Amino acid sequence: MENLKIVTSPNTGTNLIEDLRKKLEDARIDASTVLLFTTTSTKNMAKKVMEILAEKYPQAQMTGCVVEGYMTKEAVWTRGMAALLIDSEKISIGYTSGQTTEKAFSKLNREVKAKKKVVAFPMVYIPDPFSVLKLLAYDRYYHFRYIRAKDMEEKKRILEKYSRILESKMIYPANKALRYLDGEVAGMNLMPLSGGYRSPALYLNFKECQRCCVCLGMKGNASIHYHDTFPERGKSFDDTFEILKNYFGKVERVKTVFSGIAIGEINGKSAVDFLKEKIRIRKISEEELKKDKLEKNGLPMVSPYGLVFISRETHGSSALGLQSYPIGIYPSIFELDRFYESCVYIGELFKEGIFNFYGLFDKAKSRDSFKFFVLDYNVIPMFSKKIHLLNNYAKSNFDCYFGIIASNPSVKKNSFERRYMTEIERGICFNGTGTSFMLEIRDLP
Amino acid sequence: MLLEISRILSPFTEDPIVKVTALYRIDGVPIFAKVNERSSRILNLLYWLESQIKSSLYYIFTRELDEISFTCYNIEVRMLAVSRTLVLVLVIEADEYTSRYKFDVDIENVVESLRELVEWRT
Repeated sequence: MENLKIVTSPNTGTNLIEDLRKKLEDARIDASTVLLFTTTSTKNMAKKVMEILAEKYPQAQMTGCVVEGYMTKEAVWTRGMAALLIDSEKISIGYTSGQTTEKAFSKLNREVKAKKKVVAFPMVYIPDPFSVLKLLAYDRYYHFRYIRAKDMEEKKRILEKYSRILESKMIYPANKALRYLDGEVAGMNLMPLSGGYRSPALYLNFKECQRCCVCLGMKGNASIHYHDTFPERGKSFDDTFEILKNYFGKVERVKTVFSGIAIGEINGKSAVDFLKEKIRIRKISEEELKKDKLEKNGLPMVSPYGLVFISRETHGSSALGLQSYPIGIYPSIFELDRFYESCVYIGELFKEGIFNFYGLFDKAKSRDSFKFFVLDYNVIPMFSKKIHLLNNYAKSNFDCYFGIIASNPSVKKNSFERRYMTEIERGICFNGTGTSFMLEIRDLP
Repeated sequence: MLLEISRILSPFTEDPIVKVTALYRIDGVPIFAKVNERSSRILNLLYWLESQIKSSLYYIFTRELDEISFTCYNIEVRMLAVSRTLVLVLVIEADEYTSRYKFDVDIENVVESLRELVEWRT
């Protein structure tokens, strides 16, 4: 494609800079939009990379983020960086940095009018050390009040207050964010595989910005395809529960107490104590969290154990991974108010393995259109080098594509071609694992 | 040839968690080696590795193994057969598990590229 160039380099350090300069020279494109995707290995070099890009394309609009890996016709890499250089008037970029989900995403919706949107935002943002301390103190205070609450109403009130704090400082719930956006929307819900302070980073106009939301509006002939790895959902709670029971090896029905995005208890215990009892996992201490994990970018953000919540609205479901963090009230990455309090504890697995993800590529309408897709990053710990099979499949089916491996994406559409298990609200699909989307653009110029 | 090998291996040579990137011949002679940490423990490990290459390759081919790897504390040594006469050795020191999973994805690219290079030369 003449008006689209993909520049990648798996290197780090000086090699990366040299490689990038050379490849930008060879690219021969007057890009009006630059999309930059760095990986964790080149996160520290993003500033230098953006300086080079700004020097080369000073007039271009630019955005990007840190991802876990990227996929091109040449290879799949989890290191280095990739840049999409696009010469097209059909892409517009808008951004906001409001505090609450409602404010941030309503403003974003007013800014970008296009009917097809891709929105990137930090679903979970880990702030600076001082703010992390503050959040841990809030957790202790509200958990102290929660365990002394007299009745369920008081418990819910406490959780609601804590949920509002989490939302204003740390979490944009994936399903709630999409509610405020019109048209067809694909959500890149950023959350690193291994967390560190001030992560995940987003890039905007050649600068790094913290906790902001970016929206790419697409005009013209573009379509968004969604895919999940699960069977279709049931028509009632029991139906869906049976399907989940057959799909996952080991399931257990549990009772939770939550409000907003805060989970107070599972079967009468705090979420972390419940997990400890189930799998005898060691709890990460507060000191370990601050010093060993967050400072070294090593806080695990995914887990093979979790809760599957079933939606009251659609009877679809979404999973939330559980980790042994030193907290009393457990935060959720999606708003829980439209879910049943009775949910399912699971040990995760994907039936059919990596081949289940081929379904996303089968949805493409034509071979020669440009495809941009986002794959759930759980494929890295689950399948590691088998990811190359996905790339081989894409290579044999598409002429031009670019894929990224990032945290589990979400999609909002008027209707879907099947009863997706992950459709947790009418028109909104999201799950803690196994989701992917593909943006197919047929007329880029 | 060496320049091309160096280019293919460059994603690993500047990575701080990769302590050693080396390509050995079957007789234990290194064709390419980049050592990022010059400490006695790494040098001792390299010395020992030279004597292990031949037997590692023998096991990889006779037992149809993809690779041989062993872990000592948080140091992981991975030996991957590139061809019938070449072994790629990586010494990785990573505290957290995700870096190791990601390595699996990237190693595949590098080994494939080295294999292509060897075929192209022969």
